[in-house]
Amino acid sequence: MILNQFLLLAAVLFSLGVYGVLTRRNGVLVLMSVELILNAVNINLVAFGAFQDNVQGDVFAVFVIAVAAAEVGVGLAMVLLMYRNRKSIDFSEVDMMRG
Amino acid sequence: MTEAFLLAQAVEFDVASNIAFAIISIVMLYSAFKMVTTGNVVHAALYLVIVLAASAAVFILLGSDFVGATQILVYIGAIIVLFLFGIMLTKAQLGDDDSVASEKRSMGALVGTLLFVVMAFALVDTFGNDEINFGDPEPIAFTPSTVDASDLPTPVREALFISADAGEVELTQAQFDTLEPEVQRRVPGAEVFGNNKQIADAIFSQYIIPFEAVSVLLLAALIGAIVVARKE
Amino acid sequence: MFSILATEAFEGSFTTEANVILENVWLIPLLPAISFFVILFFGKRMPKGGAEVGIAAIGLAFVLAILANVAWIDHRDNFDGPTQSALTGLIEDDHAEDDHGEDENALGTTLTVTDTTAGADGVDEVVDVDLAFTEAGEGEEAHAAIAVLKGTDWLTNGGIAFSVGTLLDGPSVMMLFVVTMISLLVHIYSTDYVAGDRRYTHYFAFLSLFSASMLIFVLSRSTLQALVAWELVGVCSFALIGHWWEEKPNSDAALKAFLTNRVGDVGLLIGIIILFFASGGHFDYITINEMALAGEINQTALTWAAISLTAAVMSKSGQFVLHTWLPDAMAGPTPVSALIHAATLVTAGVFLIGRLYPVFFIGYNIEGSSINGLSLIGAITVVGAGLVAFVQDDIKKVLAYSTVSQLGYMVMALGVGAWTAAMFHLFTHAFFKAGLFLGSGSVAHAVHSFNMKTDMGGLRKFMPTTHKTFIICSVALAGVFPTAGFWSKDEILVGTGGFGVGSGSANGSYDLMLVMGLVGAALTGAYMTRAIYLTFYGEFRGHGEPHESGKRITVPLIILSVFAAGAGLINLPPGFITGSLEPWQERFFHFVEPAAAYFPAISHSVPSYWLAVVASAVGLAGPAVAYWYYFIKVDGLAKQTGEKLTELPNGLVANNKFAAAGHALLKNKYYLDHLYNDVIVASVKGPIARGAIWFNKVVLDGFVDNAGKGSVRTGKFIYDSIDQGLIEGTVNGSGKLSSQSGQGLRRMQTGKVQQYAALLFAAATVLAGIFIVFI
Repeated sequence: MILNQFLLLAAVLFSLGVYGVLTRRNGVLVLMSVELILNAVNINLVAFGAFQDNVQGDVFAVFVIAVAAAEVGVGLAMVLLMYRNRKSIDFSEVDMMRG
Repeated sequence: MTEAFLLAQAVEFDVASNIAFAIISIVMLYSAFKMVTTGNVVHAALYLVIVLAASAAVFILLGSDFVGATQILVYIGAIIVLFLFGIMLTKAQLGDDDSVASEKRSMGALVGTLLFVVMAFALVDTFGNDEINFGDPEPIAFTPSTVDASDLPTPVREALFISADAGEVELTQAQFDTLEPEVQRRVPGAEVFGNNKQIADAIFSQYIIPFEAVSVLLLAALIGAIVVARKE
Repeated sequence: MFSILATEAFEGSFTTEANVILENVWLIPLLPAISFFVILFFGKRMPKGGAEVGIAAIGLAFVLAILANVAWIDHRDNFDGPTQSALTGLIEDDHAEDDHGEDENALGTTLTVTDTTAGADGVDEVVDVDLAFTEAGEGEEAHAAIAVLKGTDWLTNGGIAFSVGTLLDGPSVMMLFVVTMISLLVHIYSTDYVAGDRRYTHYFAFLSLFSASMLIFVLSRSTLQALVAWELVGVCSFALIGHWWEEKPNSDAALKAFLTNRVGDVGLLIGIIILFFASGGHFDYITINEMALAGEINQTALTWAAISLTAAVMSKSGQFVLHTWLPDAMAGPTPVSALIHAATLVTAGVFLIGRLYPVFFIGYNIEGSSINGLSLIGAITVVGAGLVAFVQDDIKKVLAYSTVSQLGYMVMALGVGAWTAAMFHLFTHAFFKAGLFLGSGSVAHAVHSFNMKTDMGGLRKFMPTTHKTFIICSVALAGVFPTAGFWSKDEILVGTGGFGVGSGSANGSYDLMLVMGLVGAALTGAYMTRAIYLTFYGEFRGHGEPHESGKRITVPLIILSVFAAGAGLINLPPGFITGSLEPWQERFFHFVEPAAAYFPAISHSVPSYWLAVVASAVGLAGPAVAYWYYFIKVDGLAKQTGEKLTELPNGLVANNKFAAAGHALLKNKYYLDHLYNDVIVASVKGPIARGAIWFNKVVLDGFVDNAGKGSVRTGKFIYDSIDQGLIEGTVNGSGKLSSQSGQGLRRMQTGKVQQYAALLFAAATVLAGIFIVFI
């Protein structure tokens, strides 16, 4: 197996994740798309670990999984807060970030 | 074993795993695509499960069983449940979530394609056809021991010509060495580790500080999530 | 003792084995640090809202600080263990046989006084106190003050060790005493002053954190550790200035303090980086200092490092042009102003110079010069801030400008090489300025205002204790013999060596600094007289019936005024009264100034009686004029007419155009705030906006204009997806282009997060593509 087949798979996954983040209106779906991005990164890490024949890639992938869990927790809490304040989690309605 | 035999085995292994990879990646990319386009929120979560399971399969294909197992436990076991909770608590319509503006869609598609093209160019340019060399498997460690013949798995008994009612038998290193690797793994007393041992060593020695930092991060995220989400 | 040390070269710098107290001073900052967390998490549930924890912790720290001082006094003269130098390592102790205890004067020198009449006539009778070695003293060496260095490697990266730990020597042990003592008094005072406040617990938590950070700062052994503590005190200052953030001016003041300090912090960071690279990868104070003195860091690097660090000092210690945050910081609670913006935090900059003195001493060429950047900044600050203090109606603002002015004295002293004088002034100033601030707080507690003209006056009848302590502290501030301020200010003036003061025993001849110092002394007395008149004399102009504050407020005032009156006695000039160096003279100098290989061989001025007389005369002339104006003219007129006057109705300002212009200049604080907001900020904002419009007009529009229809369509697709507003402005013909182009970039700010994310990703991708293709 060549390295690039994994890396390109991860690249496609990453791009799909970005697409999801940019287009989904539902806050939960945006967070799910972020998980796709993180997963693509994990595939890269593990693939490089196998390529270099060491375990560092695996170790970092495990760390990324842990961080992803933290991210989902905080992200969902924020979505819940947004829901409570606006009765909606539609990101396209959020336009307060205007200077 | 001759050189040709080894090569043939390697090629065979490669073909098999490439077929596996093709199936996994097709399933994964299809699910990922459906996940980011489907109008149904719950379906999207289920597609995400498939993507995550597929990437766990990719990890196992790459020889990282531990990461694969963690992926299944943490992601599919915990994170997806969180997402489903999130979907339910926010009372998102379980039906279609279609009305995504077309201009937004083309914007996302443009950025995503651009991103992929740049990354693909960089990857092909840098790594070309570099092979992943899985290396020779390390010899399996074995401690000679005395076992009851009936406890031995059938392939081991057959290879060593031991009958099931032979009572206590002593297994020696010389006997062990004659066995095929697949059979060796099944001998009681053989130490079978993937790279789990090395990962454990790495996490708890070289990467102990990042490990602790991650645990503090999890704690902070826990507190943060409670503070953000609780009702005043 | 004076020029002797200058020629003395010490080999050793520090030791790692000393008295158990000196080895474990890290406990002192630890106590308030623990108290911070305890108050933060459990304070609200405690009977006294967490104040008791804070007071217990800082009280214990104060006791430990006193023990550390006692231990240091013993260590200073009697230590004969193994000493080390950062450059040469362990030093063989070849004079362990030294008989330290034998001679009461540990330096083995005696003082002879020679009366020389410099002038031919008796007009300027000069009594020069000169020092010389006696025969017996020549063979002996002065005992080095060996610093106690403890610590551990925090982390090692790329072969560079980042150490944390404590560096205990004279200045740090002195600061331990000052910080813990003032902090303890302020804690006690605050229990009354902020009683019933809605963020009472929060307040005490931050007082604890501030004390801990400041103690860490004074004990830091490396520049990096100091930087951490420096930022920590900045954060505490921010939080405490904005304690009542619900009112806009308070949160504005906090932000201003934070942002102004950021300017200086950049200087500090640059200075640390320069020193790091110039010294070949060191953060430790002692190593840097020793290398600077050994000539292993080149002069240019030292100069640039000194200039960068000066920027840090200018912001933290409120030196001129960056001082504007300090008077605004008075928006915080008064005890905070006393602790942070008078006694401790603002002296951090002065302390930093003192710590890295070789860098400044060599970098600024202090030796043998007559002017340099550091002393000039200090001198301008002394007079500039002193003048502004005259026109302030807010009693705390008067004190704030006075603090700026006094900090100017300290920086000026360091600039002219009078290290001990600077530290001594820091020491005495902490007491009397904290006393003054707490006194003003006591007054404000009674009249519920800080405005002297509308709400005060005649308070001496209502608040006798506050009145008396305020007077004592003011007298000390004005430098009247024999209060603390007299001794420290006089030492600074002597240290300038201007006009031949000290017969060439000073480091240079800084004439201008001497003049500015004298002018500053006159101003100090005068504006304090004005403040005292407006606050305590005349008729009461406020409302209600003011009453004296409680015990928890007055007792700290009394303690501080005792120190303000008497603290000067610990550094009596040599030869004072007795004509020879007695063991009870110059104690501060002896115990605080480092005498080791990491401190430069600075000269020490010989005290001069005639300067003391001149300074006293000038220093009293200022108050005398102010007394005449306020106590006689204004008060007399007020009694005559029966009005409540705060100034003469047709005085100089009303009649004289120049005086009015000057008054306006001072009232507007030299227009510095206008300079920062209206000129600098506006001029930076303008070009950026204009640049954006230009980019829009010329680059974007031109691109679309000149391309054919086909590319317009491509452009439409791209811009449509990024921003519809932009495309309208660009396609609709050239007529509208100039009017709409300015709007273009602005419309990109739709506020939609996902559009921002798209821009972010697209930009990152394009940049990555550029990198891949071209590099």
